[in-house]
Amino acid sequence: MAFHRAGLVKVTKEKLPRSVVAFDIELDHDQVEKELDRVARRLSQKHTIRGFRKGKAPRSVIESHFGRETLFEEASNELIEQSIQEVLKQEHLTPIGQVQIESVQLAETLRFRFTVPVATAMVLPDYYQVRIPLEVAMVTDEMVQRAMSNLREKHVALLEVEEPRPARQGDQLMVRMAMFDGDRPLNQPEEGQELPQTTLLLEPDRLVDEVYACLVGGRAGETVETTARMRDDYTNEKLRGKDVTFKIEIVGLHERFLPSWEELPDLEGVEEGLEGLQKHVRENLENAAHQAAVQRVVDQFVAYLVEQTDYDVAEVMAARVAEQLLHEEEQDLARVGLTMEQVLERQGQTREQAIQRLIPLAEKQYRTTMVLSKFIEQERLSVSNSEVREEIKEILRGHREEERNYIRKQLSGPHREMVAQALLDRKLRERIVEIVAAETDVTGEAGGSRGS
Amino acid sequence: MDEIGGSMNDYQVIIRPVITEKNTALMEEGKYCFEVAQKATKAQIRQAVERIFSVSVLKVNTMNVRGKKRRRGRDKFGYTADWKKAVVTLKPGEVIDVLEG
Repeated sequence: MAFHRAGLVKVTKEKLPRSVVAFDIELDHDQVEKELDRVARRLSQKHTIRGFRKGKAPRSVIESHFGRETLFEEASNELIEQSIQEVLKQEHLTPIGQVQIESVQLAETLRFRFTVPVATAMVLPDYYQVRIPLEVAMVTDEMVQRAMSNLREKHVALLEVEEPRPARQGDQLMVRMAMFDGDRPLNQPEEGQELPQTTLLLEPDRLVDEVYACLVGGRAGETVETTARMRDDYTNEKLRGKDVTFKIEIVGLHERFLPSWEELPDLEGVEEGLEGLQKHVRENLENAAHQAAVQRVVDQFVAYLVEQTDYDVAEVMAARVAEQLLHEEEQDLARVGLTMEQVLERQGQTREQAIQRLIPLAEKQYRTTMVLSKFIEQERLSVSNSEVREEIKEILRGHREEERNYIRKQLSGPHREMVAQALLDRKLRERIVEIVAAETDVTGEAGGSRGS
Repeated sequence: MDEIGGSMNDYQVIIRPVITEKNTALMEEGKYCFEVAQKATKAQIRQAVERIFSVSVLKVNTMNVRGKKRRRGRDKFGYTADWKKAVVTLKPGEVIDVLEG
């Protein structure tokens, strides 16, 4: 495409892959001359040239004083910058990365080519026809009972045994456990350090049979040893079917006291007794099952949108997101006292290689973000200030009186954006479910009562 | 020491063009200003300019410029060098590109 516009003699636009647009620009002689005059005047005003008052030296003198190249360079810099801005404005393009200037030729006219990654428009597929059933898993009595048992476990009391005694079923043991495949250690401590302590619940269904058998009867301070053939479905794939030798040092022994079923409602702060607690647990499980079903629907719907939307992720954006992902990894490592440099050194990778490794994930993440942003825009989903205020009130209701002031300050200040984001996320999920589970057409409802 | 009309070549006669704000204005009237050898005569200047720049000279005016007083330190004074200036008027329509040398 070639066209004329004020000031620019010729502009040719070319669409390149990965959301990059290239422009070939040619500026006419008059404009170049005008700019050269302007630059000469500016230099003359800025610098003292012998024999002339400031600003009085003519362009020919300035050219011979500073060199023609300097003048041309200054002028082309100005012209290129102005032209790029003008072209981007005229074309209504939003740059999302650095402009790359290529092949500048300045003679009678100024010719140059520049490329720029731009935010490209996105067209979502017709998602109103998508139907995904909301399949909520049934909550069985067995599941409720298991959840009740877990609650009871949560309130277990650990007591030091008064008189040293052998370990028996139901006890909780603190141990240091070394494992060997033949003579080869499977879990070695860091140099100069001991193996970390592990907690074991002495129950036959929680431990390998041989380990359970050798620990029963063991005493604190003793080290017991046994060899067990690991099951073919053992969680650690590397150990499946192998004969593993366990050397277990019993460091401590606690007796566990589970609360009685009758005590449990009180401990959980439920006033309606055991039946009330069971009802409460069932509701929670049903709620969780519903959330899980919604999540499945949302995931499938988003996957459909991402797959069906033709969107070219600009390299610069993928690199930026990859950089962000690496930074997040870095923060996670810092929490466990490691630095990214240490990890990369161990992996024999450079930072650049690590970013490259994250590019596919970054592209996927960025594409998903863009698709969801477009969906939110198209569905006119938004969150108003009053909704955020209401949400904060709701959150505060779940906290103790003395905590409320602090939490209110946090939620109204630095974490307000998080509350708004969570609300928008909820609306997004609700709208997706509304669309995919609809029996009738929901296209006309877009934006109706979804905030302002 | 060179004698008048002696063995100076053209580039010893014409030392450099003097480009100043005033002289730039004079150039529009066909008058060009040069620093010349102090011993150079008007005839030598005419000849040198005609040969170096391939132009026809109408008139040569010369003047000796006295060095300016310059202070060095609190109470020491000195002078910059004296020099000789020549304003060369060309025949109408002729030009010299003094900046190109």
